[in-house]
Order: sequence, then C-alpha cells, then structure tokens
Amino acid sequence: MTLLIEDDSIVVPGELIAEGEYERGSGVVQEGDKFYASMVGVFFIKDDNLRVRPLKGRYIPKVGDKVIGFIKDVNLTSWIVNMRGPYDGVLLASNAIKGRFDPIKDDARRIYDVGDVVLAEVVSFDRTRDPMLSTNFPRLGKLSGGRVLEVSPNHIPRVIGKKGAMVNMIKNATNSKITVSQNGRIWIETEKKEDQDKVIEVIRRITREAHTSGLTDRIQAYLNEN
Amino acid sequence: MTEEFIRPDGRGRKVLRNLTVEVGVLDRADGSSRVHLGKNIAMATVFGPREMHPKHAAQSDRAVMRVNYRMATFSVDDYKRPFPSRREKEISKVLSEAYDSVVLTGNWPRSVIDVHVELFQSDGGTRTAAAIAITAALADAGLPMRDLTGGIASGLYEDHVCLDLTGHEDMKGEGDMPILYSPALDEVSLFQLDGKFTFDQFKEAFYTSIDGVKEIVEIIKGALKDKYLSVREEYGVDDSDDDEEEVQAHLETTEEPEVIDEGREIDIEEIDLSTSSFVVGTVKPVTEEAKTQEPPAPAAAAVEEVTEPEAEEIVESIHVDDFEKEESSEPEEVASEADDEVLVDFKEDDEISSTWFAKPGAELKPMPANETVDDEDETENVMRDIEYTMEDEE
Repeated sequence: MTLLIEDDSIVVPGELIAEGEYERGSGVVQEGDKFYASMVGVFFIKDDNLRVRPLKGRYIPKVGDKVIGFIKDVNLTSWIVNMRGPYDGVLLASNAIKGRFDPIKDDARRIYDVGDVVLAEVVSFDRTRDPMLSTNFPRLGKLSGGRVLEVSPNHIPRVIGKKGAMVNMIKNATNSKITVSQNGRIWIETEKKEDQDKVIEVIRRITREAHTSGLTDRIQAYLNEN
Repeated sequence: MTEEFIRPDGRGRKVLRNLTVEVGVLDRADGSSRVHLGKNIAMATVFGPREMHPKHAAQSDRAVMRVNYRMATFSVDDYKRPFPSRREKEISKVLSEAYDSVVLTGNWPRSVIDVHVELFQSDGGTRTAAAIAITAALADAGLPMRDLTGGIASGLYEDHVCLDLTGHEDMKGEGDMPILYSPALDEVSLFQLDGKFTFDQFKEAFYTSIDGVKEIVEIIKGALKDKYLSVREEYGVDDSDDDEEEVQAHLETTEEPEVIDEGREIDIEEIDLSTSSFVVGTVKPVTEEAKTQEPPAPAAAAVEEVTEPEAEEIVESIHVDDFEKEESSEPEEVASEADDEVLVDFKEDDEISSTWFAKPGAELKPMPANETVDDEDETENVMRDIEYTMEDEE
C-alpha cells in the first residue's frame, strides 16, 4: 500500500497514483495492483477510495439529473431535446402533460415548440436507449425570458457552492433569478441588463478559477466592489 | 565511433528535435493542442463524444474514434493538392485505430469522438507530430485514456540509427520506423516500418524510439499540468470536496418559483384546438374529470366504435378463413405477452445496464414507478394501455 501522489493534486492520464489494495473510483484505471489516473483532473482519496475529478468533459446523463434542454425536433407525440451531450433526450408527451395526449386531437407544438428551453429531469437512461426526460415534476417545464449560459458540467458544483452558498450569494447581490442545471447550462433572468452581464462575468470567473481555494470569499469581494 | 556521428542539422544520433506542446489553444473545440516538432507544426482539435453522423456508422457498444489527418496546401515546399490524398487517408485510418486502443471508448456507446489534426508545416515525421498533438488534445478534452501515448520515428541515415529523422534525412536515408508507444502501459499502439533494417539496427531503433517517447510524454504531461497549475499557484489549492449529493439536494430544495410554465399545469384543456393544424373536424377536448373517473376516455371509446366495424367489414370482404384468422390473432397475443415481459423485465434490465454508467458507489435510482404520489404517474398510464389493448382483443 503505497500512495505515490498527494491528495488534491492535479494528475494526467497514465500517471501512477498508488500501488496496493485500494478501491478504484471514477477516473482511475487499474492494472493488476497498480492504479493509474485516466483523465486530467484533481485527485482525491477518501477511505482508500481513489478518485479523479475531471476538470473538463462532456455531460453524461444520470437518472435524477435536472437538465436545461433545447427542443430540437417535434414528433407527433414526443420531443427531441438537445441536452449538450452525445445523447439527445426524448421527452414523451405522457411525461410532459398532465392528461392523456392524443396525437389526433392535440398538437405537440402547442406545448413545446422547436427552440423552446425546458427544464427537465432525466427519468431513465441506460446504454442501449437515449435518455428519457420528464417535465411532470414540480418546478419543471418551459423557461421563458432570460438568458442561458453554458459552462463545463464539471464546474457546476463550484457555481452552486456548498449547500448553494455561491449561487445564493450571486442571486442576492444582483437581484436575479438563476437556475443551474447539471448539464452545464445556467438560466439567468434579471430586471436590469447590467445585472445580467455582471452575473455572466462572475460565472465566467468561477469557471476559470474553479479548482482554487477561497473562491466564495473572492467572488463575495468582487460582488461587493462592483 | 558511431556515437560521434553528427547529423546534417548538428544533432547527435539519439537527440530529439525541439518539441513544444501547448494545450487549450482553441475555445470552440472540446480539446485542442498545438505542437512544434522541429519545423513541423501540427494542430489537433477534439470534438466529442458526440452524436454519430451518419447514424449507421455508430457502434452499439462503444464510441468510434475518427481521426482526420490533413496537410495544409502550403505545408510542403511544392503546392499540395487540397483533396485528401491516399497517404492522408491511410494515416487517418492507422491513427484512428491506434487511439481506439488507448481511449476508453466503452463509456459512450453509439457516439463518436472526432479528432481533426492539421499540419501547417512539415519536415519529416509529420505523423508522429500529429500523434503528439492528438494525445495532448484528447487529454485536454478530459477524455478518459489508459495512458498518454507518444509517437516518434527512428530511421537509418547513412547506415546509422538516428532518432526523429528530418525530411532531408528521411529522403536520403535507407529506412524509417515510426511507433506510437504508451510508457505506463508498456504498449505499442502503432508500428510502421519502411526500408531495410538488419535485426540489430531494428532493435536499436526500437529502443531508441521508446526512450524518445518517454521524453515526449513528459513534455506533454508538463504542458497539461501547466495549464491548470498556473491558475492554482495564484490562489492556492482547492480544499473543498465537491459533494454531488449536496448539489443534488440543493437543486431539489430551491424554493424560488423559477419556472414559468410548469409541466403539470399545461393541460389539454388550455390548448386552443380550433386553430390547430392537426385537428381534423371538431373534436371535443377530453376534460379532466372524465379522464380521472374513467380511465378509457369517452372520446377514445368513440373512436373505437368507429374503427371496429370498419375492421370487421374489411375482414369480411376479403373472406379470411378461420385458419388465417387464428394465425393472425396469434401474433397479437404473442406481442402483448412480449409487452408484458418487457414491462416486468424493464426495471431489472435497467438496473443491470445502467451500472455501466454509474460511478462506483453512486446510488442508482430506478424509474419513479411507485414513488410519485401525485395524480397520474407512468405506471398508471401503462396499466391503462394494457387494459386498452385487452379490450381491443375482445
């Protein structure tokens, strides 16, 4: 059992992390009893569990994720939703409206049309099928007004902060409505345009300094200055 | 004697040309890099994993690596025709296959990882310069790889084994042997040989290349780490473990009514059908009450009444005998049984297959079958569909 890399250091693929009886977490490959990092990221160890948190990468859907998607195509009884990853989401009409949807009588375009922005939840996903979405839960549905900002999905935990500290701070300082989704899209609505620009600037800064310490304090100071 | 051999550009036999690697040079690509290897300039961009086009080329169990190697028209002394040449297609193919073995493509079935590598200037060993650029760009894109792969060629120049031949040496020399090698795995993922080597020369060239690759991979590592360490040194080390559960909890408990039109409030009733282009004739929208009281909606029942006699008429008119009727009814039953099976097996199937995606230790959430207490959930709809089909059969 030898740990060759310090906790919290940046690793690259093929870097030998540890040898011996450890538990393999995400971002780590195992060859015999040797553990190598498989991606560029920050290395963490917790109770012998080795894990590499990626610094970049595409969004991979997970059941239970809240995502902001753009309606890409409308079918008779479903919508194809761009989720910003390798797989497009499928939003069935039965998952989008309360009652029964009859394609003979009802027009799917009247509910969501191409170009609409929806906040949805991933209800099922496996490697054989495209992810299924649903807007049939509280606070899900169409977003209108505001702007959508795209950041790396790996920076979302930083944007939210500990128990929402970061996002709540930005909300209070700029008097804005912000919805953060796990696929790296952030929806922002403010009354004044200057506030909107400020929010975007702050989020850009968070993503740039995502893997540094004392970020919340620095952003707080920055918000107070301006 | 051979150790003192000096090459036309003043290098010793086992010395690399100057190599610089930069990563993250382009904003729009997922990963990008620029490599200078002597006079070679290569730039690689990575897009993906993303949806595969054309769809039929997708693999059901893994992502496809698609490397596109191109040389700019101005990259050689003479003008290079802009169309992909036979040589470019071949290099694209062998590089695709080489990286397929290094990148963990099994994580994203049915998708593609596109890599475009462009040579702006060339002076021998372009494919190895391209390979170095691709490795750096793939790592920069955050793709999981088994190892960083480096590439370099060794060849024969005036009967001496030399590392990293220039264009001139390659032309005058007797042989050229590019390899792609992963030091941590100790694996060769590409091996090509052109010319005549004795066995001793081959062995020497091979081990020279491997030493060269180890040097190259250290440079790529340095470039990747520099990118993030520069920001880090300014502000210090991140001490917060990102707790995904915490994030999830936050997303679930936000109280602000941020959504404008909630999904559950959109009702068929609200939709004005009179101007809908899909409506044929006037159909009364199904009311909420009717739906909740009687699972098969009255309107739907009306449709049934219309369609059933028609179907009978057709059957009569073509005089289908009993035997055929039986036969035609059988597959229907089978189909419905199959449907049931699918419904039963779905959860199990879901759990098994979704483990492929789940991070170790992450909790798997099954379909919200019985969890949602609110009015209509999926299972109810499914149940109603079954009832519906059973009625049809009767």
